[in-house]
Amino acid sequence: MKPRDALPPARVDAGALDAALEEWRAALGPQWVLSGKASGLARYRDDFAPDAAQSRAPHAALQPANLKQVQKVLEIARRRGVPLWPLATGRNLGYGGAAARQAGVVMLDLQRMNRVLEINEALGYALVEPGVSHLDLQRELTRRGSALTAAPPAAGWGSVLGNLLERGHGYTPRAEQFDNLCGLQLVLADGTVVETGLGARERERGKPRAVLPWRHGLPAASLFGQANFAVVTRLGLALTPRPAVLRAYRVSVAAEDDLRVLVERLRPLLLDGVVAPGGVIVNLLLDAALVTTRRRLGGDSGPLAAEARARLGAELGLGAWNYHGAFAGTADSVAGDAQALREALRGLAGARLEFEDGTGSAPGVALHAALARGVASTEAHAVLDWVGAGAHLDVDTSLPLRGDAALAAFRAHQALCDEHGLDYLAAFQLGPRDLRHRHLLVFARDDAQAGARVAKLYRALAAAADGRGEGVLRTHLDFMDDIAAQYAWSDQAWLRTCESLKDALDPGGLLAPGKSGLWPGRGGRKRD
Amino acid sequence: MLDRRTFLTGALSATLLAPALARARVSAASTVRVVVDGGCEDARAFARACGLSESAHQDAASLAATLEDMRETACVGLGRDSQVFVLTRLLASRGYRPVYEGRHELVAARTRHTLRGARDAVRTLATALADAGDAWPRWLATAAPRLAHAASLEQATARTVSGLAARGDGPGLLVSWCLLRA
Ligand SMILES: Cc1cc2nc3c(=O)[nH]c(=O)nc-3n(C[C@H](O)[C@H](O)[C@H](O)COP(=O)(O)OP(=O)(O)OC[C@H]3O[C@@H](n4cnc5c(N)ncnc54)[C@H](O)[C@@H]3O)c2cc1C
Repeated sequence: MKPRDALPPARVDAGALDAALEEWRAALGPQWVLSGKASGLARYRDDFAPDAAQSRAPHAALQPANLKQVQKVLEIARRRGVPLWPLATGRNLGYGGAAARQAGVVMLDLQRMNRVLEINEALGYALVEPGVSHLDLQRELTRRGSALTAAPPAAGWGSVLGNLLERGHGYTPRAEQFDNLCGLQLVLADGTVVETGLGARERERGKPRAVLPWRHGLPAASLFGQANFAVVTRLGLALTPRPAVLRAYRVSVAAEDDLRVLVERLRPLLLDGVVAPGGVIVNLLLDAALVTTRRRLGGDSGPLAAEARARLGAELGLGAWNYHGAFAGTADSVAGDAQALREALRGLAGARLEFEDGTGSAPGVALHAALARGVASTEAHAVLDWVGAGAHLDVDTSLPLRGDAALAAFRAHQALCDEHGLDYLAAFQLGPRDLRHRHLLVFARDDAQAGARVAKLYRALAAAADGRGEGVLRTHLDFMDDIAAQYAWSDQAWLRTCESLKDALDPGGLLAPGKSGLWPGRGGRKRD
Repeated sequence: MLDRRTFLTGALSATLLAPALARARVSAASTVRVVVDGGCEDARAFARACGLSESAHQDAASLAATLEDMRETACVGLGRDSQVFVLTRLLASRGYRPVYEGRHELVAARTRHTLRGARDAVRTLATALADAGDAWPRWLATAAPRLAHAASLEQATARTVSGLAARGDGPGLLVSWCLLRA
């Protein structure tokens, strides 16, 4: 994967833009249209940008307060030919933050639409607007004394909607956010309001019971994940009741190569439902980074040598790999599951099973116990301190739930990290049939050279993962075209299908041009 | 072994923080929110110097809820870079903006301070920190309200090094800050 040339700004006619800004000011109120230096526009950037040279500065930002205003914004954008980039809370750090793919667009910031519209305790769902963060939702659930929880990501300050649309993940058994989707309300580029779930029934009049993500006909909602076909203005989210008993635990294995056998022992339990999806196998350094930093460990700033890693593990009580899981259910079912796990681990040399008991333990145990309970917080940001003022770029791939596949991925990533002078901080999350390899490339955010090194490493890792047959699941703005190109089978059939959809739903190419490698105009206007 | 991030936090009367309030924008009648990383001794020393009780613990989730409801005029503290990164952005959406930031870095067993804020305040502080040795967090706390002073005054960066070795349990980089409600 070769570095691409810097992306030029979107082409927008200056006169049309000025006229659009005037109209937006009249429609939203001038204080909700940010343009010019002192306007707060600087917030719309990628704080974790690996490539400092790539400008993403938008022309302006709009902050509508409701659905009607969103429609009005789109109507003006359409008439004036100004592209928009929707944002929920703009905290998509690791993947582009609050920035757009290209400089020169106008940000459509939906943070002011921040109402929790409904929490249905009996049926277990919430209806939320784009600006509701996981922390907000948690507060509202607590305020109502609800017995329900969501599955927040480790960075709980981001939006429920943005995280789900980006195909984010939490750590409860309902970790896959997209599985919790129960209907979207969308505004298409032509202003049409669409309900993807039951809310589309005439009788529900757009006020859905969010109990199903689909209905008769095309199960449309999944078309809008990581896409640029519409602005999403409301989300139905499945919530789950807190279990009567939840017992978090950690299985640690001593040697790095034990990853293979750990995965092999866990797989049957996962398929049997003893172990729930959502648990993560975290490597030593990612857990250690919660409590210590590279600088504290001394030596130069290059990757920590194998012996130093082993010493650190012994000091902190961490294995080379640490599987953080939780059993949920009744006291009896939890005891039975724990026994099944013990048996599965029998004979595995160097393996340790430890239950969280709230009295303090190795790094990561209590954090993962909280995440498994659905507690939203911002605690996991601590890992960024590994390199001082840190940022991260994520390599997210999917591989088969097989020990040898995991080991091959780990070894390849470790070797490339060593070659590029970076520590390997990563986790494998257990999906129902696959493993999600989440590798955090942590780098100093005020160091352009470190950013460039990490971008280079990202390209090498993504190319090597492609070579091993792994698929990238989610990527930073900088690499969207490259990753889209990896799914090129059958003469780019999938990309061409998406381009046809894009051109049908958004013929003017107004919405998020370039998102996920999808440009308007059947790719013809690509990157111009 | 500390396995959770905990914070010490409290809303203190500005008068408790330091005597030199006359020139500060924070009036003696107002309260200041202090937030400190509970996990390292330098930050706890800052908390003690602010008069914060060691029992005022919060985890990251409840701290976020506290910040959501924050009414205080200013927020000062000392913590890890990642905490400050999150906190300043959470509070920015509630109308607080940074008027001072200090970076306290462990370099060759000394603490190197880089302070950015109102010119006079950071220069005075830099002089004090140069002689403070490992008591620098205490000096920092004493100066906290003055750092809130006159955000509109000329901004400057001051650098200095504290002579004595820093305590061993810190992350190697601590950040101090002052945010003021606009
Ligand atoms: C330390 C750390 C830990 C993290 N841990 C996790 C984790 O465990 N799991 C995880 O999934 N992520 C994790 N992340 C990544 C990130 O924080 C989240 O994914 C975050 O929730 C997304 O930010 P947001 O909700 O503000 O999305 P936004 O930035 O608002 O949106 C992201 C993108 O979605 C699209 N979009 C947003 N809103 C709309 C809309 N209304 N209509 C159409 N398109 C829209 C846009 O393309 C936008 O750029 C972590 C990040 C950090 C820094």
